[in-house]
Amino acid sequence: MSWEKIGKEDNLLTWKDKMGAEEYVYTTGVAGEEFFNGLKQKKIIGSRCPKCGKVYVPARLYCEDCFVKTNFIEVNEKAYIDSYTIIYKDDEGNKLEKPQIIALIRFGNTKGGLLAYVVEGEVEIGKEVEILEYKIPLIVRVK
Amino acid sequence: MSQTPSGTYLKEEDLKKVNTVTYKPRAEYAYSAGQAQSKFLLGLKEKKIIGRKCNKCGRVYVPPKMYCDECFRPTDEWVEVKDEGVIVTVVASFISWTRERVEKPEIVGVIRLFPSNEKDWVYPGLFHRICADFESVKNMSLFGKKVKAVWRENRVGSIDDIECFKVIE
Repeated sequence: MSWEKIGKEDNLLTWKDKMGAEEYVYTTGVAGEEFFNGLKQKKIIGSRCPKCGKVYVPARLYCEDCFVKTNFIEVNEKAYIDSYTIIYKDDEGNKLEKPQIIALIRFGNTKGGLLAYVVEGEVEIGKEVEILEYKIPLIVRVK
Repeated sequence: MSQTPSGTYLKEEDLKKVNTVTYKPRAEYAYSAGQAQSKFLLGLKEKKIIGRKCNKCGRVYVPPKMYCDECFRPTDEWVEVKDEGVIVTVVASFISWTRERVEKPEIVGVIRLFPSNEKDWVYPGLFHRICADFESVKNMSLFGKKVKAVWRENRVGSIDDIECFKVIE
């Protein structure tokens, strides 16, 4: 048996092209609308299920467990780092000027989370953060 | 759904009133013919028809395959086959690639390439155009006829480097 692998891409016939994809506009939806309007007022909007009491962040319209409509609430729980990663290259593989820390921020006793750029402080899982800028992704500082 | 849907249909001007996410996908792709097909297509550029042989069952795959369907093992070697063969099947198509009706039918068929014989045939046969008229398809005289590839002058490494297979006997 033999596997005469050519291996090199140069020796293979390859077609490279770009698909003509149009720009699209996506509405954030009923719950997204509440959430993003909240962000503009420096608030984190979540939603509470009236049946099981679970709080979703960001807000969503229905509880996935109870299939009932939720109520929008402002979340004032402590924000903490659930997990983080450090990226050195952008999505095209170009080296970044300086490494970027991306963290998943969760809020106490809630379900879900938001992505954030950590710009200040010593990053560590479980540590509390302060939200510096309310946008997507959030800009946070480790307390 | 028994509940009243909460969604609202949006008009063009409504889009300006709500929060939106705008994105233009950069859908770039790279598609490779792979090891076997690349060798085959580049062979056509050199006026060569290249197959791949499985030494266990003796089959020659044209177009080549790196794996034998029958034996569940990698095929063993590259082999060059002749640009001559016999017509196994032939059909006249009055429908174009884009499903439009065409006046002059395209004659296509499967050719069993040499050096295979009826018992040991180059598997699974090459599907290509056959330079023949509609009449010879209708009267079924083409079956079993010996054909030879008509090569194009300018070859680029494509299945279209062969213009068609022409009856030689």
